[in-house]
Amino acid sequence: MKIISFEVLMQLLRDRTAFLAEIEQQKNLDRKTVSLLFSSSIFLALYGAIIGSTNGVLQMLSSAFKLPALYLLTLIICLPTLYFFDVIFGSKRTFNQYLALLMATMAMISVMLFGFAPVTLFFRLSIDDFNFFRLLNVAVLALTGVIGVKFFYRSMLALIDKNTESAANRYKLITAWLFLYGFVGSQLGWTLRPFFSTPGTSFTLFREIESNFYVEVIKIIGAFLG
Amino acid sequence: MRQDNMQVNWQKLKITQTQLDEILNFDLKLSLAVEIGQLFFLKQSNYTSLLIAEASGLFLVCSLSFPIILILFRNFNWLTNNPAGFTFILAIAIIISFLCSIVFNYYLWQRAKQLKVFAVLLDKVKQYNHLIDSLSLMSELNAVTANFGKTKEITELKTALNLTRNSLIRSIELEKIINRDRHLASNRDLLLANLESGLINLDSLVSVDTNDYDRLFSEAIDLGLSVHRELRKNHPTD
Repeated sequence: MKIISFEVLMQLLRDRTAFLAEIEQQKNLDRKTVSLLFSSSIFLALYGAIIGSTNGVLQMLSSAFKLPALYLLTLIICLPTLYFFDVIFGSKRTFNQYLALLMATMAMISVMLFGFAPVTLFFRLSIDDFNFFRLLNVAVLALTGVIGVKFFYRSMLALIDKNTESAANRYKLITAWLFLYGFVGSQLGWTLRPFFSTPGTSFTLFREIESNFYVEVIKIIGAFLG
Repeated sequence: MRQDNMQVNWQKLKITQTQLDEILNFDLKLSLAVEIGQLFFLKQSNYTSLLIAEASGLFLVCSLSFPIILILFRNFNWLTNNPAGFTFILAIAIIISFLCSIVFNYYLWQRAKQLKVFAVLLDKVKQYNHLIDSLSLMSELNAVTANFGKTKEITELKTALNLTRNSLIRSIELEKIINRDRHLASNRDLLLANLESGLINLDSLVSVDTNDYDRLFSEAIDLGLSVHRELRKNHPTD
């Protein structure tokens, strides 16, 4: 059963050009999608477990489920918008091609987070400043997210035929969609919180919906700077 | 003599996964169904990979259903914000995962029964590739011990392996066609009868102007149909 294989992920990391060419040719799209979904879920769950470990096993488990879900749900929510609008603007790609490409983006982000996992774990074990830990993770999540989105943008540009009349409109569409993706992702993260929990407090599965993500980041920075 | 022995590129004689993928062009569901067929119909004992695949499937569905249930239940005020709430939501996510798994496995089982012939043929391919590996190893050992086979023997062996290889590939191709057309014809017996009649016509054409390719092609068709008929005879319920 090769759905649990990491071969597809390694191919994506080592030879992105070949990977994109296979997506263009619609080669084994379902295998790629499932394989990348599996590997990214594992990596994200591991990273989620680390950031949730500040407040007991239950919080750790809860964050391990929530982090992969955050990325997956953002993808599920935003994918139809991208697909239908791009088709309206002249795209000939199939839904599965978009799905595979977005899954590759998610896999890229998850691998980078997995790469950061030892660093995060080190700070988790060696410092006693929860605000710093939160800020560090927001920075890591933002950095990996930006790199992942950049990968997606470049991949999409590579798949657009530059000689068509609609190419310019499609570039704009992708840029606009990426803003939407970021906005939905951050708000969904806000809805699914807490991913982090202050050490020593009782376990909470969810928080009341209040304010928004961006206001909270400014508050954390303010708290960190004193 | 040593050069002759070393010149045999055993790996070239293998049927690679890429070649099989190109011929079969199976999507993920069908590939899984064939693997399940190999495990259960051919009594292969490698259940570990199946269990890992099932577990990863459960994990994926669980990961996906967990936040959806969380968001929905919270909006409907059906959830308590404590460890009991977490356990409750996790239990529901696990139940949903198991239900999805049961439905998906039932589907795979039905497809596995339809694709039994492919399970058999792919198992033969696996056996053939193992044989090539063994020959390659033997060849390397013989090169070290200076115990070379005769050039004629090696050439005959190569020819025989090439024949087997081509027969296997043609059988898979033929079975693929039969499987594809089965969806069009509701009566399988009628379809097989038509194919057999076509085969007889093809054989008569081949016998008029016989060359190696035609003979091989005919053998492949014979082999494919015989495997197909044999399996249908042994498992009439599928």
